[in-house]
Amino acid sequence: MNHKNCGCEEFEAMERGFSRRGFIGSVLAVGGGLLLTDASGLQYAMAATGDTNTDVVVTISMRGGMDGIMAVQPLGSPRLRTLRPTLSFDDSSTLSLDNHFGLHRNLKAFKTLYDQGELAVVHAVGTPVGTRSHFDDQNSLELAAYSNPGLASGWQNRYLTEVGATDVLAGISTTSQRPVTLMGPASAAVFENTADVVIHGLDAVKRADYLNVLRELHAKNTHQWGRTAAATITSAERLAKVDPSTTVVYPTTTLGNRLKVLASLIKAGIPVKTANVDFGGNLDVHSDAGPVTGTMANNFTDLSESIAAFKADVAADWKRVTIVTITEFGRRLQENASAGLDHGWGSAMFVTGGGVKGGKVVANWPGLEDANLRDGDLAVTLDYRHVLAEVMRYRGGMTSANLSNILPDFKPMDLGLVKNIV
Amino acid sequence: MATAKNLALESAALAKLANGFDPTERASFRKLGFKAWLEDQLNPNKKENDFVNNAMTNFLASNLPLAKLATTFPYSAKRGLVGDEAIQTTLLRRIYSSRQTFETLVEFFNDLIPVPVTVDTISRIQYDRDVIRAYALGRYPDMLLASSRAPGMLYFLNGATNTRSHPNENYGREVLELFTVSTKYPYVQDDVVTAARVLSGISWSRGSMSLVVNPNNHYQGPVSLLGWSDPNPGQTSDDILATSESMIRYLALLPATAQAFSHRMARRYVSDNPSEALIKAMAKTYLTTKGHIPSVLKTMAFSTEFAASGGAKLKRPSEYLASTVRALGLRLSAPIQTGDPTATYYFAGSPLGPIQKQLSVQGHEPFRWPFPNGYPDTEQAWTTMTGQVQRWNLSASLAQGLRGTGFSSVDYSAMLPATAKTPEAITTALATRIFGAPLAPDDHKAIVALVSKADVSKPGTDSVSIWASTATSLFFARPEWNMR
Repeated sequence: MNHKNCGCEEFEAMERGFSRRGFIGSVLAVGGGLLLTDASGLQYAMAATGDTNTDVVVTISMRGGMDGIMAVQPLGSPRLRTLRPTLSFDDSSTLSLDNHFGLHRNLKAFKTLYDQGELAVVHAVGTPVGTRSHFDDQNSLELAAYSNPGLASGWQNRYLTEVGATDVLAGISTTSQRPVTLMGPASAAVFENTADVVIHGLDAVKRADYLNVLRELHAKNTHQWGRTAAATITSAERLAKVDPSTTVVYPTTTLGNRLKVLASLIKAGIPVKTANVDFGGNLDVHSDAGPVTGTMANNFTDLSESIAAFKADVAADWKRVTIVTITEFGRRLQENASAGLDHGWGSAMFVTGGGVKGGKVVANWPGLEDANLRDGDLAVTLDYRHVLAEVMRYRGGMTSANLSNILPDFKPMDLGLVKNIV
Repeated sequence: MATAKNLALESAALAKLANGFDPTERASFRKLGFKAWLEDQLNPNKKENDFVNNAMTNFLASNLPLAKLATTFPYSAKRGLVGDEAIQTTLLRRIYSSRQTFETLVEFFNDLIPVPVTVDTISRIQYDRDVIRAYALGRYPDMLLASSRAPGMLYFLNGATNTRSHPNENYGREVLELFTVSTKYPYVQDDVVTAARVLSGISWSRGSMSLVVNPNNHYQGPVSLLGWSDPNPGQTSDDILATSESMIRYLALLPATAQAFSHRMARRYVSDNPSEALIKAMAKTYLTTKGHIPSVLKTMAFSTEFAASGGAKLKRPSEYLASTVRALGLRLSAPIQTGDPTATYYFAGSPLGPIQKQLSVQGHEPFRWPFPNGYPDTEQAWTTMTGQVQRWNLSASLAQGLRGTGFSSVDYSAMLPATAKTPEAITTALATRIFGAPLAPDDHKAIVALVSKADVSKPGTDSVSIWASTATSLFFARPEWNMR
């Protein structure tokens, strides 16, 4: 897509427009649209640097484009039922949240969290650009610097810097490759299983001697490979002491395993500040989306039950965990001939954790009539960065100055999603 | 007489245009010189070695035509085995083929226009053989056309269910974004829909295992995108195939495609950030030769930028594994057995299993990347804790000849002169033997210091082997060995 015409200004104007219309007087909108960085008189006194009191901010990356409409269906919409004869539900088949939106019935565990006030839904949310390209949208979503494409770091990496993280295990990604969001100057450990990062050593020499020589061999290397080696050795030795076992039964899925690993680190007292967890399931459902027993139905079971297991596993630490699901785009409103959904734009995000002011759906709902759609897609009326900013602000103690370093040229709004950690 | 410049070029070429050197390959390079060596590597008639040829005869699916594949390996069973076969034959050839440059091209194209093994394993075997390998030394437009009609791609990006009433945009989008002009070209959503319409009605039949072109499912009428247009009558399957071929070939030969293709290739072979000048030169060759792959590769390989680019790129896990095994001259730990399609698991005991597993742990098993953009190809993406620890461990396992790697033990006695009897002498002799030159002084010193601490006091211990394996473990743990 043509990036020269990214429509950023147009988007911002639209978002402001929706803010006025949608937030004021809409029963769906919650929060009030207060600009976090406005001269609003709000004072944030909390010191961020080195603050051990901050949450573990976890992103679950729903890579592939999660259909927000199937996850959180707008109720009472005959138009939706017409456009999606096989990929939408009767209202009564969903788990109604507020009589306006209903959760997919396989998100039962989310309904419980919602009812307990620990899960909030943000809808018609997404990236400001919307190219419908997985790779461009994912990349820019993780860079989160739309007006500054030259910025060579991801937003979670900048968060680590701003939060004053000094521990090499403060940033974690349970993936095989380093995601863009954790690329940059702050160190972050990338591994899927603690068993994979056990250094075996050599038969004939002492472990400590071997590790010292490994460090020495890497000391002068200027590549990232060389620069990160010492941290890898130190981290591996610490992770070797982490007990990976748990009595909690997780779903036997990629996400279940990854959250189990993350929980083991948190329980072991590893001072994780932020973690990226890739969902791992297939969300790119161009065909046979499987809303009842197939692909998407299983995805929703996996997502919600893995998080429920994680909550049970971290137990008392749940109060200092905030999880945000994030996706590069939603799916087309109309289903295609293959009972699938092509790439769209607006989607939904879930925010859950011990510090979440849950039990609500936050949206400037744009509507599903032709005039409301963008090239046939649910419009994005809320920038995903508002959600991230608010979490980092209130659960990570970020000041306005911190936030402007993490999310440059962005004016975050308070959506009322989380409690202030102080 | 080998000058420093010659050695740098030799080292860059063997690390980048092959999966690392082995003693035979280095000798061949020195005998022929770079140009003749690369010409030989790119010769479509270059003979594969007997070991690979013989090993390949043990695999069942790879040698069968598609229709036979479907009847021999019904979709209901053995699919996983066929997938393992696709992966293991790829690894076998990556490590041991004499046609090393060809194998690097095969890997490149399997990342450029990928079909994951999870889509359909039988189609995956066919795709590798009849699309990627068939055209890797030919022209990209031909490969792209074959790819657009291959069952693997038709299933992966939903061409198989793309119809006129509801075009499925998946392939239409990616053919523009990833396989041809890239997002640097200002195409719009309508162009994506047009590409999908042009290809609508082209599907695949699992029953007959053949392409099925149905005019009833094809969008009929004039179409145009990015300067191409066609009346697109779409009345017959020949009409539909002709229009779609015209579009694919047009897209494949646009300057923006030449640019995007050259960028991907230079990033694969040269460095994470190849210069604009190099990309431009490659793109020019691409356009003048109508997408002739070896010609573009040669423009890149014979550039001064390539010659100076040794050590600029991080090896991906599979390159690290292959290059280490090749440098040590290791063979498989056991012969590959003839497959038995009636057995539950006909690869039981195959030495390729643990090799496959090793790459799986590092997230780089062939054909497992689930997205159509291919495995990442940058140092940032692959510098991970798992990657570092696993490579250190693999280096140690191979050097010490531990069981379970899938490879034979190193025969140090054959690699060392009888005179090398001290940690110092052994380290020097081994490094020179393996790398063609001694290590950097600091590395040499650090390694000798550790080797000297090795415990050789146990009764029956062969001190030379212990010293040699300790040194070798560290040779391949060095950051420099992780770069190419």
